[in-house]
Order: sequence, then structure tokens, then C-alpha cells
Amino acid sequence: MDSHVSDQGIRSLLHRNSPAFTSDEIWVGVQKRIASRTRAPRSRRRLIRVFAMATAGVVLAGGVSYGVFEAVNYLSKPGDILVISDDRPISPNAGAGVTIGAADYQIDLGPADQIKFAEAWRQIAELLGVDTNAWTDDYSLDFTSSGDFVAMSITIPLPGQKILVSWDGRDGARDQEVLATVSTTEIPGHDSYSTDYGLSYRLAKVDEVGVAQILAVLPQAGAGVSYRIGQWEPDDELSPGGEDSYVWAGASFEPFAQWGGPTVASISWVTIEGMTLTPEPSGTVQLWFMMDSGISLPNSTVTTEPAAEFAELMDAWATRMIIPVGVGHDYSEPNGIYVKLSAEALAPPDGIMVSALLVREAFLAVHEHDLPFDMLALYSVDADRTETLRSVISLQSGIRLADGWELEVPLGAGPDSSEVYDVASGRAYVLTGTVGGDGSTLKVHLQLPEEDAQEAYAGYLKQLIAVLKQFNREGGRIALLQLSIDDAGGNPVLRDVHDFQLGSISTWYSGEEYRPPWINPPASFPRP
Amino acid sequence: MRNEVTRAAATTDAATRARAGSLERIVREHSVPLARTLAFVTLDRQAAADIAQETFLRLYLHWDTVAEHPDLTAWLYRVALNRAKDHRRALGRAGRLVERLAAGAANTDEARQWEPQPDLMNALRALPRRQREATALHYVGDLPISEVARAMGISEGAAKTHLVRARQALKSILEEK
Repeated sequence: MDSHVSDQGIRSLLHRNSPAFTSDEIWVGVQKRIASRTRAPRSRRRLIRVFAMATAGVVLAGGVSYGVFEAVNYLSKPGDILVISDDRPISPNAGAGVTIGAADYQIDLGPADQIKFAEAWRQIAELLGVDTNAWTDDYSLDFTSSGDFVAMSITIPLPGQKILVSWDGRDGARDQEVLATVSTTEIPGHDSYSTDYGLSYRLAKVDEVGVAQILAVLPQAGAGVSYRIGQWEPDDELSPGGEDSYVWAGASFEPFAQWGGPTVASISWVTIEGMTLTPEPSGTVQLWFMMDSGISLPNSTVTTEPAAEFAELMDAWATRMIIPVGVGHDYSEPNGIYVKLSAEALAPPDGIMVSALLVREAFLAVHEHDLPFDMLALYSVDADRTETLRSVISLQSGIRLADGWELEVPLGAGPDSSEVYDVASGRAYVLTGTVGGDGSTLKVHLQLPEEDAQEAYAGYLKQLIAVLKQFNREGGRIALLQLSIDDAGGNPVLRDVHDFQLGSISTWYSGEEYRPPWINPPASFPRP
Repeated sequence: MRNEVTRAAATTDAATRARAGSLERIVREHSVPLARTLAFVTLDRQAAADIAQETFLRLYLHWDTVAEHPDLTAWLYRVALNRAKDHRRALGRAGRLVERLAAGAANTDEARQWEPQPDLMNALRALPRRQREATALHYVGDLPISEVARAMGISEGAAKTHLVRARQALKSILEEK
């Protein structure tokens, strides 16, 4: 270590600057959290369901009504990226070669310069007794500036524990044996959000395309450079703005902006991150590499009356006034379902709310009622009955509960509706604010003033999020914020669903001047 | 039959009270250093308090399997790091902007509770996450490097590397003093 910086100096510096905590403060908070876990679970109110189903009946009787869909809406622009998460949570296999939780051990994956990553992962998964398509958002393969494979790290979250597969051969020869260490911890897997292929898909794509093709695109800086591909937490290890995207064109990667291939609405992608690592973190550059999955997702068949097995889902959607044109099974799999909504219903600006609520309610219903559905495909149906596949998402692993949230939002754990309304309206911008359903949803509508609209807009967004965050910190349970903001002329400028329970944000905004602070500036992020 | 039920209920109550008592002792022993460590991981005092509470809640929920863990301290820090990671990704990339935004608009009373020197915060903010985690665990949580590595799920060599790089980044601040 650097002899000019003493351990004691660092320790002293940090301790001098530590915040003050008391054990009382933490203990009181712990007791509150324990108490909140013992409260009554959420239940859907019968009255709401009856009302919603009655509405559904009226709509169906009248054909495809556009009016009803004013409360329902658009998912994404034509051409939005389609991502798929058909991977399922892995579980230990009783016949596996190891016992989860056993001591660390090693597995020989063969010479580093001949390794095929998908095959290596298959060996690891087989030994562990886990699904080769295990979901993870934390894996990395490291290469030298010459392209030699020198290190790997794969973290697989399991219920109740994690598996870490790692190898570091930076000091070895390029043809050294890859002796990966497999260890397990008793640390519960973290809650995460992912909509992407499982590990086997992605590693197979790396093998198919070839590491050299990826490294050839990554910036090659000076001495000490190395490369990493895989997936990891986006953010502070990246250099600002270094997130250009490239698409595999069959023989090489092309910049996404120049991509002239099939539209992304009709194709699905496997996305892999690539990074040039430099000694100084500021020199680090990250790029995205997108490859056609090769999996065909045919449009669904004719609209049919929803079968009884979809009743719980229909109920759940109806509580949000979402009435599908059709619901059925898709992909010739009994656990894959499709939902069709009117293209008009999915049109901007309000459609973003519909898609967010549709997916949210499907996830909650599937898990509340233990429904046997893994995958949800959403189609839009045009006036001429043309169907377009808009998105596919895994209801088992594509969505997860956010940190600190349970599936069932406890009744009474949060502030009552009047309190929420008073605090929100205290900011002087709220026109209407209501808490609906079980008390976990806050709907806010705001009309901006003619003067200082931008200032009011920015200030309001800050205040509202801060207020909700504080409520939830204090044990409140506002799971869902539905926010709509119009300008002084009544024109929509923002439609947003903040789903605190599922940790997702769905936002539509009318123009750059109304880009909310939680949306990154438009760059070359992989969106057409 | 009634007596049996009563005895069973009494036994359950006693076990619950014992668990609560043990939990409180553990919280009082570990909560302050854990929260301070988390403050330097998250750079957010309130988040640190939240995550520390969530960590002890986890302990409570998994009491039967964790309470007798041979290295409870390591377990707590490892769970806390996981929760910190969850905290960061809970709302995804956009959500972190919300977090920062909300932090900027937060009650100033809260901000006043922690006012570290700005150059230190800037330096810590610029550190990659793992370097910051290693720094906090080692220098604030006072964990030895072997425990830092275990808590982060990495090798000791990697933990040392993170610490060396972090120290380099913090060097200028120390030299100015």
C-alpha cells in the first residue's frame, strides 16, 4: 500500500467526518419495521371488483370502446426495444453434484485460450444443480489488452443465498487452466429488476459473435488497459456519457444509430455490456452490444373470449380500468399468456400509465393467487385489426419487489389519505390528489401556471418525490404514484407512474423542456 | 387441553420476548458502527439508517438460522451491503436520480445531521462503489481485510486492490491537512 498515506490517517479522517447515530434511533426503527410486518395484509375490496367487472361488461357489450381506454393507454412507440426475460428463478436440484452451502471448491474449465463460455457455464450449472438459464445481473469476463481471457466472476442469487463463481488468472499464461472457485454464502439474494435473457443465452451469444469482435469496438487507450464484458451495476464505474450502443450485423458490430436492419419491434435482443478499463476510473468507457436473439415471437392468433383461468388477471386489470381486447395463451406454452389492448388505448400520452399498471397488476395477481403464468406478452391492436407485439416480460423473474416492500402492502401501515393529500397540496401546486383503492395509490394531477411554468414544474417534481419518499421512510406505504401534469393550456406535458413497490418508473413527457429529472438526457442509449 | 394451550402460548411468548431481548442487545452493540459504515457506502445518512434497520429486521426474520451464526458481525455487514445494493438499484438508474433529487429537497434538519467536509464527500462520491465499500468496511467498520473480502464476496487480493486505489484517491485530502 502507499506508504505516504497511513491507515491511521484515513481512519481518522473518516471517523472525524462520520455522521452521528444512536442505537436508540436504530432500535426504534427496527421495532417499527417488525411491527409493520405483523399487520393485516392487503386485500382487494369486493366493491371495487364488482364495480370494475360491471364496467367491463358495459365495455364489452359496446364493442371496443375508445372512451374507456382514455383511462388506459400506450406502452411504447412503435420500434421500441423488445426485451425478454424468460429465465426462471433457479432452485437447487436434489440430484445435483454438490450441496448448496458446502465449502468452497474448484472446477476446471479447461485452457483459458480455448474456453467457450456457454459450455463453461453449463458445466458449472450442472455441477451446482441449477438452471443453465439462471438469472443474474452481475457477471463479468475480463480480458487483457491483447484479448487474453484472465478473470471471471459470476454471482447467482438464490432464495436465501448466493453463489459466487470466480477465477483470477491475471498472473498466468494465456493457455493456463481456468480453475474457477465456487463458493456460496448464506446471504439472501437481493431483490432486483431485470428484463433480459438468462445467462446461458448471453454467454452463447458471446461465443457465437466472438470476444474479439466486442473488444474491437471498445476504445483502446494506453498502457494498463483491460477489457470487461458482461453485466454489472450501471453507474459509478462508468465515465460520463460513455454508453454508445452497437448492433451485431452478422459480421461486425455497427453503431446503433446507423443500424439499418430489422426494426426492433419485430426482433428481440440480447444485450451485453462491454467496458474498457483504465487505471484512472475517469478513463473508463462502457458500450452496449446488442445481438439478435434468434428467437421468433410470432403474433398471436385471433381474439377469443378470456377463459376462466384468466379470471383473476381480468379482475386485477379491471380494478385499474384496463379491459383487454383479448387474453389467451401464447408461444404454444400454457404458462405464456398474451394480452391485447387497443392501439388507441396504448397511444400517448396516457398509455404509459396503462402499460405500467397492466404489468403491475399482472405481477401482483400472479403472485397473490399463485397463478401458473410465467410470461406476459402485450399486443396492440390497430383499427384494421393489425396486431403488433409491444413487449414481453417475465412475471416470475422480470419484475421483482423493490427493497423493503412486500407483495402485500399492509393496510394501515401508511398515512391516511387525508394526510397525504394535505401534505401534497401544501406545496400549492396540486390541483387534485386522491388516494384510491386500498390506500396505497396516490393520484396527482397538476396544471402548471402560465408564468414561471418551468420553475413550478421542476420544483413540484422535487417536492412531490421528496414528500413520498419521506412518507415511505416513516413506515408509510404509498406503493404507487400516478402523476399527470398539463401546461396552462391543458396540454399534457408529463404522464408518470412511480411504482415504489416494484421499483419501476414509467414516464412519458412531451418534450425536452419537460424531461423529468429521473430521465437521463437522450443520448445513444439503445432506444430508437 | 386448555392448560396445554396456555402453556404453549406462554412458551411462545417467552421465546418471543427472549428473541426481542437478544435482538435489542445485538442492535445496541452493532447498530452505530454499522450505520456509520453504511453512511460512507451510500453517502446518505438517512439511507444508512434505513438500511441498518432493514438489516436488523432481516436478522429478526431469520432469527432461528442466524442468531447463532459463528460470525454474526460478518453476517450483518454482508446483508447490509446487499441491502445497500438493493437500495441503489431499487428504482434503477433513473431512480438514483430521484434519490439525489429528493435528497436535495429533503428536510434541512436531516442534512444538518451530517455535514462532512465537502472535499471528502466529493472524493468518496467519485470512488467506484466497490472501492467505497471496501474503504467504509475497513476504516469505518474496522473490519480486517479478510472480513472485508468476505462481506464483499471477493478475494482478499481484490479487497486490497480496492483499498489501495481508494487510498490514492483520498491521499490529496490528507496531504492538504
